[in-house]
Amino acid sequence: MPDGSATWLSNDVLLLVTSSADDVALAVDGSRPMDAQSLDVGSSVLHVVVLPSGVRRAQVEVEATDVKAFLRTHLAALDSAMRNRVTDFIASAAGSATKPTLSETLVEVREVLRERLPLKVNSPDGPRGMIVDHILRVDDRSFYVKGWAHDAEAEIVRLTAVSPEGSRVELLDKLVRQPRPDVLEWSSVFNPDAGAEPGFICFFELDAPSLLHGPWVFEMENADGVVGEIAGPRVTRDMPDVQAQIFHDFAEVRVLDDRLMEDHVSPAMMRLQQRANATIKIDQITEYGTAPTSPDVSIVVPVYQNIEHLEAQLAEFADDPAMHAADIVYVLDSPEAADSFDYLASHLYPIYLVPFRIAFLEQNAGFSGAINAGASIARGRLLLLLNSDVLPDKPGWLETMRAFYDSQPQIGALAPKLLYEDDSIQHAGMHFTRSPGQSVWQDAQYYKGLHRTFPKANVARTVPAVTGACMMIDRALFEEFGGLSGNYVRGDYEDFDLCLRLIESGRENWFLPAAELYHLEAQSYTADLRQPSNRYNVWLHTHLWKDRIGELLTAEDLQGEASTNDKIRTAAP
Amino acid sequence: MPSVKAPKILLVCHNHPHIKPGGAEGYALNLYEAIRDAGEFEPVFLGRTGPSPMPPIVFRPPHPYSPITSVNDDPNQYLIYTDLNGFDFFFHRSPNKETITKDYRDFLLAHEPDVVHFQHNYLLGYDWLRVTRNTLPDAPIIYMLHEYLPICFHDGQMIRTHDKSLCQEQTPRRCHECFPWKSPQAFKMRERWMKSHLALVDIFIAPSEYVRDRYVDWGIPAEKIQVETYAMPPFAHTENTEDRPKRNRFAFFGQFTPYKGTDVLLKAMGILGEDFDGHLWIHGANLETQAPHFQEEFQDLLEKTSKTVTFAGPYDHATELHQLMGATDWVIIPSIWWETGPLVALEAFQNGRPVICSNIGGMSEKVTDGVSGLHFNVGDPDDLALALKRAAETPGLWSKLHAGIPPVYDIRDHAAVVADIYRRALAAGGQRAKATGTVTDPKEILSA
Repeated sequence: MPDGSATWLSNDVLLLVTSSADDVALAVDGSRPMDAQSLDVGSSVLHVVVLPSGVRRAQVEVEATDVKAFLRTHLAALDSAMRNRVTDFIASAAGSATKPTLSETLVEVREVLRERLPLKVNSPDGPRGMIVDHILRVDDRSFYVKGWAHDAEAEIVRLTAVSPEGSRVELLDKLVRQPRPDVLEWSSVFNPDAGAEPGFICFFELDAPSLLHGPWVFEMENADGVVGEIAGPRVTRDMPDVQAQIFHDFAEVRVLDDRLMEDHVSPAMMRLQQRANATIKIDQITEYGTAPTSPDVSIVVPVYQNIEHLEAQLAEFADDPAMHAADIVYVLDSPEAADSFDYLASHLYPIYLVPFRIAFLEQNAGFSGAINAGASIARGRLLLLLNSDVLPDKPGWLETMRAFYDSQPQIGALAPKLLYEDDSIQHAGMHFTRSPGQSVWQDAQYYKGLHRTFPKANVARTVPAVTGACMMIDRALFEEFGGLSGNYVRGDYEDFDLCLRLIESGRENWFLPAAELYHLEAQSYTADLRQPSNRYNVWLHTHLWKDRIGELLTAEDLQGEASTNDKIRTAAP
Repeated sequence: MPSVKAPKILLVCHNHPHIKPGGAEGYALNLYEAIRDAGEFEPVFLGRTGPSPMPPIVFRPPHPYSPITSVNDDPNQYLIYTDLNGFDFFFHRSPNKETITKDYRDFLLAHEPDVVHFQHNYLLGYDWLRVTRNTLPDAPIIYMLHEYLPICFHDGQMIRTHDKSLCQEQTPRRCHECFPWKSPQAFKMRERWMKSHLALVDIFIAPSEYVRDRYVDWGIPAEKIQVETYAMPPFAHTENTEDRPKRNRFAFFGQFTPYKGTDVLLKAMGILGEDFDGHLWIHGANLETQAPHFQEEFQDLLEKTSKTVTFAGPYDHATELHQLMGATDWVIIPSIWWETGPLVALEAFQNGRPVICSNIGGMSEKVTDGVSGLHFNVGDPDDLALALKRAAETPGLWSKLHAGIPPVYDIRDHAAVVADIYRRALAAGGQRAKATGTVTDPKEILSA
């Protein structure tokens, strides 16, 4: 191999050029040949070799030159389209070895090779313009961008995103257009009636990971062949910020567009959830008192922020023998409060003497993540999922629920009557409704707000779904179903999702009025935080279940007319 | 001295009169002495010391390593220092649990009282009850209902915050209306928390029928509450035998808080005008710790009535009260809150003074209208003015009401009744209901 025909992009990525497409004559310690990915660039062939693990750079017999010299010698003369292909190829081929140091080198490669287009300077009286408001990293290979691009003279035919590492993605065929009244107002030239809306939102994937905050480049071309580029903003990488920004964009959209949701918002959100779920880990389990080792019931209580509810709950549990026999697992989903919660727990146990364990999560996991983590260390045959602001009306409720659960062979989930603070009904089972002309299914509560003694709400019966605020389920069954779905954001709808999955598999969900508890929620309700996530969860729930909700449930279920429905089982077989 | 075998009674109180005088704590110490002197039981008094919303404020424990210390030379009187760091005045509990799970628990284990009689949980916390139950499972817990703090977050006054109207109905919704920044759910949680601890009490003592009714309405089982009114130590003075031709001297004794109704009283004096043939003396303390607007209004009302009202200020309860009572004819209790069983009425009666009071709660129960005093419509200065005028100007009325004053309940007789309560609680000790819960059978559920 001639001198100067190879260069190291990093310690384990080698770039080579040869005169033909033959196998790369490369050997390690004189013997082992290695695989390369190749691109024909006309007069020669470019190869990228990623060293297998265990092979060090020093073991490879090659004379390598400096990166810039290599690029100038072998690639600078190619035409601009081919140079763009080359940067994209190198980024993809080296992708499996991506590390920040390689990424830095790939930025250099991109900057040497790429054709610089005229820099777009947006002005109110210019005929065309483009801005990218934000680039959000969903994961290393997928990104979400929001911006606008408008051309008053000719249709835009190309919008290309170029990653810092040189990966190129065409956005025009993927993105969804959004109205941008602010842009139309700002410009004295843009015509609101001509062509597409200026705004866009786009979720896209790269062939290779992109690790850097920048610099991203966005290129634009119109039907007359006028081209230009702009620099993208710094990438938002922090997961909560990314999620918040997507919700913010989504909150501005008045009518939900299925393409926006299916192709952009939900893929991004689901991947973020997957990333978050993958990192859920119990940091430590601490036992206060001696928790029973083979209990009937494990009670799993996720605790988010309001750690002081522990004191109210333990005060209610203290005089119920069933609570001393249960395996109570609090799951702290606010890692920042770990020390305070441990302090509180260790000081409360000597007062209330109800044994319990706390699973301290490494990071915030959301409702489903916290429940699933707690269930993973549960010892009971049955699980009781319980919110920290639920207080039993009187002792005996748990044993009443257990006995009923065990009496029903087909049972899936069981939930009791939950009360508001003024003795009106908060939960007596759930069903789903759809407003006329609307596509989304909303959850609805039977007999909500009626008095706890209301006769129709005092019949034990099967219902389409029950709340996760206080839900009993067989632990093996829960595990068989993979626990609560991690797709929903911040705790919403995963209980109904589980109930529908149970019905789909032939199980029944039961409402049990003989057990009554207060659900004292909304003591620290932050409406603006929950509202967009709720809207997303409603959409996602409908999207995932679509018409199956209508197939699984009867018309009476859907209209909330359970009391008149003779298909509803109210008695044991 | 009590015999060594006498059952031991621990009286727990939020303050000790040695630190600061006060109605409930004064009564508690009187009860302690009466029980001690009767000999059947051996009482131990444990009073709180420490920071407080009102002076004097003690900022550090009496000894670096012991929050508990004895009082003077009495081996059965103790102080316990508790801080207020992070004290939760909503739930009324302290985050510093070691005060109870270590210091107080050690004290219980050392003394091993047979009965624990709570006088007040103010600034202590209601979880003291559960630690008592845990530590001494067989010792009955007696609880004196001196006030309405568990029921009402408004300092236990049961007066609505927005219009000062009287409240007899505590619900999460109404409490939230009084304190809009606290949710109804939070109030329910507060109520549940209070009740979870008060459920451990074996017998409650209510100082008036009115107090009992309020707690029964709130949810305490009626059979757990015994009404037993406040009592006074035997009168240590000779009766005032002065003979005045006119009975037109009025006096107010007490703290200056917005609930004591001094504004109603001063407005009534204002209505009567400068020509009124009567005079009012106001005796009391702590005006300077009240809110500025309260002090301003008070001073303003005083200026307008300067001809017929004398602001006498603080007095020493032990040495001066008898003489001050002797210098007056009528004692006024114009409180706009319910009171429980106002001790000043008993003091007035001991001194032979009829009482003019608001027609509600513990006051109207203690003073009989037209027999031992006069009632007026609570919060109504016009009606009070009429009562004052009638009192000052009706010949023979004072003598008639003076003659109608009932004998004041003697703390020794009271202590004998309280001893009955202790005996009853001790006898029931083994049978105290253990919570088991009600489990409903699935068959019953499905056949319903």
